[in-house]
Amino acid sequence: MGPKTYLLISGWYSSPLGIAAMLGWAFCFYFHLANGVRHLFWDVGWGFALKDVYRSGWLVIGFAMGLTLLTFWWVI
Amino acid sequence: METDFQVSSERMKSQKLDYHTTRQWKGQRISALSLIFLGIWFIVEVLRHAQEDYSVVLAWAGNPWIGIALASLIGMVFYHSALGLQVVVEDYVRNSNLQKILISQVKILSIIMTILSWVFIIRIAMIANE
Repeated sequence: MGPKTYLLISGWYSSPLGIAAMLGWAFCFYFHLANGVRHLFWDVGWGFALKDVYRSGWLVIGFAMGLTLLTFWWVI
Repeated sequence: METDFQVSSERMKSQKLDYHTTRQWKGQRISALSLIFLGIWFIVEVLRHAQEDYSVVLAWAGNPWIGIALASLIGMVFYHSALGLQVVVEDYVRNSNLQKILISQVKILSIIMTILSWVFIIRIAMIANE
């Protein structure tokens, strides 16, 4: 383990497949984060009407996709 | 107006919601709040350093403050994920014997992973500051 191993691993991450995997990971993280915040709002009793539940659900998906695109734009 | 939420909280009270469950509920949320900050910080740092050389990344990870942040992130991640996986097992595994075994496996694995990660953080810091 050392510089040689680092070069090998960073080579994987810099490949198109590696970048795709990193962005997929980022999307999962952002989605989990946004949905977790949604749950925290539910914990304080906010947004329980069915209409609000649907709206926050789509908001979570939009938030995760937006942040992933922002990350993609920043990394490339 | 009685909402579904109030009904289920009444039901939970009647089922003797014990101290342990309350503590886990709180722990899950406290770790979630701290991971909002630690998680975003980590993802930004990883992407920022993704194209950099070994020596730059080693110097970054070897900084004591970064090490403390990484160690807290690891602790929170495995605590949060152990509690989350426990809920998944409780919700989807009917067999109570299997449920107990799986929950203890989740806990043991999380503790092992946490300690291993901490050892590696310390080792990296030692190599960086040789």
